Amino acid sequence: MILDTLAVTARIYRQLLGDRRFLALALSVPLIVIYLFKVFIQTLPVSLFTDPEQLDILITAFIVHFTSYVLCLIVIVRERREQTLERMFVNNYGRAEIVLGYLLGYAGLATVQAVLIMAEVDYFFRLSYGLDLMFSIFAVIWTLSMISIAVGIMVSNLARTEAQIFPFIPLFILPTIFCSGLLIPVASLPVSIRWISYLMPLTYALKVLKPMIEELSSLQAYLPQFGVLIIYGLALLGASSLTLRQRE
Amino acid sequence: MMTAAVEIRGLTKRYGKVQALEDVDLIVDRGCIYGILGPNGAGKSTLIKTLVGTLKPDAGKVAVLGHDMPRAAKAARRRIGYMPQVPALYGDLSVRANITFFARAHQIERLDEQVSKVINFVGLREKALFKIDTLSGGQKQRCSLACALVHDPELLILDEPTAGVDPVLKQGFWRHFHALAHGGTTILIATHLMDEPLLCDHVGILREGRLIVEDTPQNILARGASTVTLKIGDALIERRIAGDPGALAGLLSSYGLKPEVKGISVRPADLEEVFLQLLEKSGV
Repeated sequence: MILDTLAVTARIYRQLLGDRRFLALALSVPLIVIYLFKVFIQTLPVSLFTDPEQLDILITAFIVHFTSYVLCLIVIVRERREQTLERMFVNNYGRAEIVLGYLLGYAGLATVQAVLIMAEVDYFFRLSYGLDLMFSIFAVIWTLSMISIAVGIMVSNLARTEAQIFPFIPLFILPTIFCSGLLIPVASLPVSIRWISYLMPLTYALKVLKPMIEELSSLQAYLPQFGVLIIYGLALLGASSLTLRQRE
Repeated sequence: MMTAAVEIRGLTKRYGKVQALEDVDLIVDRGCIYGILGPNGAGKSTLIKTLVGTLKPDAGKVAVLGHDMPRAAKAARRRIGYMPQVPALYGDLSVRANITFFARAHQIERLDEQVSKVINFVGLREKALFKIDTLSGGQKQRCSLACALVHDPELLILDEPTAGVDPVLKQGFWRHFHALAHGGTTILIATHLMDEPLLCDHVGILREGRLIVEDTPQNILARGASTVTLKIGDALIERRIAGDPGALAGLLSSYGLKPEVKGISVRPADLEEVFLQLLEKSGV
C-alpha cells in the first residue's frame, strides 16, 4: 500500500514540476488576492474591524482553504473525465492509496503556498507576532490546506465534468464565509442554520486561530482545539477514501 | 477443469430509464479472440465496464478468470489488462512515465525491463521519452495498449482500440492481438467496425443491450442472404436468397436452363449486410 501511495505522490510531483504555468498560477494567484485584500483593508476606515491583524490571518486561512479545495476538485474531476482515475482503479490502485497519494502530492505545493502567503502577509501587514506564534499559525493553515484537499476529493464525486464543478464553488465557499465564524461569530447565527458551521472545516481551524491570535500564545496552549481539527481532518480523509467513486 | 476466461449470466444494467444491458449471457473461452460487435449505444462499453469492475450490474453474475465481479475485482484485476475507449493517459507525462505509473500497482519484478519490453512491442521506442501531448492519436492508442499489457495479463479487454486510427496502424494492432492470442492471452474486443469481427475467433452481436447472435464469424456470414443477379434479356433481376445451399439450387433450377437467361452472378453478403439483416430480424 505504501509503495502504491508513493507512486501516486511521485506522479503528482512529476506533473506539478513539469507544468510550470500551473505551478506559477497556483502560487501567484493567492499572493495577488492577498495583495488586493491589503489594498482593500487600507482603503477602509480602520474602525470597521476591531482587530485588523486577526482579520488578515483569518482571511489568509480562508484563501489557502479556498485555493486548495478548488485546485484538488478540478484535478480529480479531470482525472475522472479523462478516465485516468478509472484506469488507476483497474490497474489495482486502491481508494485509500489514491487519496493519500493526492494528499502527499499536494502537501508540497500547500507547504510552499502557505510559506509564501505567510511571508507576504507578514510583510504587507507588518504583523507584530513572534516567531513562535507565526509558526503556530502556519501549522494550522497548513493542516487546513490538507483538509481542503480531502474536501475537494469528496465533492469531486458529485461532478462529472469541469463545468459541473462551478456550482460547488459557491455552494461550499459562501457557507464557509458566512457560517464558519470568519465574519460573524457562530453563536450569533440563527439556530436553524448553525449546524452548517459544524460541517465547515474553517470553523474548526478558526477555533484554534482566533484565540491563539487574541491571546498571542502558541499552538501548545490550544492543543485540544488543534486535536479537534486533526480529528475532523482524519474523519474527512477517511470519508473521502470511502466515497471516492470507482463505479458509476 | 479450467474455467472460462469470462462467464456472464443474466447480466442486466439500467441507467435510469435506459436499458443498457438486458439478460446477457456470454462465455469467452481461454486463448480466443472474442469480438463484441454493435452499433453505438448498443451496450458494449457498459458490458466492458462490468467486466473490469468499474460498473456494478443491477442483476446477473459476472465472473472474470473465475473471480466474481465486482466483489473480487482486486484479485481479477491483477490478471486483466484494460484499454479504455479514450487513451486515458497523463498528457504531461512521457510514454515511459505513464506506463511505469500504471504498472507500479501490479508490483512487477524488474519493472524497467518490462516497461521497455512493452514499449518495443508497441513500436514506441523512439517516442519513449516524449510527452503524451506531443504524440499523434495513433501513438497515444499504442501507449494505451502498452499500459494494458505491461503486467502480462491473461485476459486483455479492449474497448474500441482501433476507432479513429489509420488502416496501417489498425493492421499493426491486429498483428499484436494475434501475437498475444498465439501466446495464450484471451482477448475480448468491443468494436463497431465491420471488418474487425472477421479477425476474431468468436463474435457476439449486441443490439440495444441484448446479445442477438453469438457464433464464429464464418457461421455468422453464412446466415446472411446472398444476392443473386440474373440477366434475362436486357433486364437485370436481383434475388436475395437465404444462406443454405438449397436456396441457390432452387433459384438456379427455376431460371438456369431457360435460354433467355444470359448471365447469373452470386454475391455473398458481407458482414455489414449480415449485421443489418440480423438486426432487422431481431426486431429489437
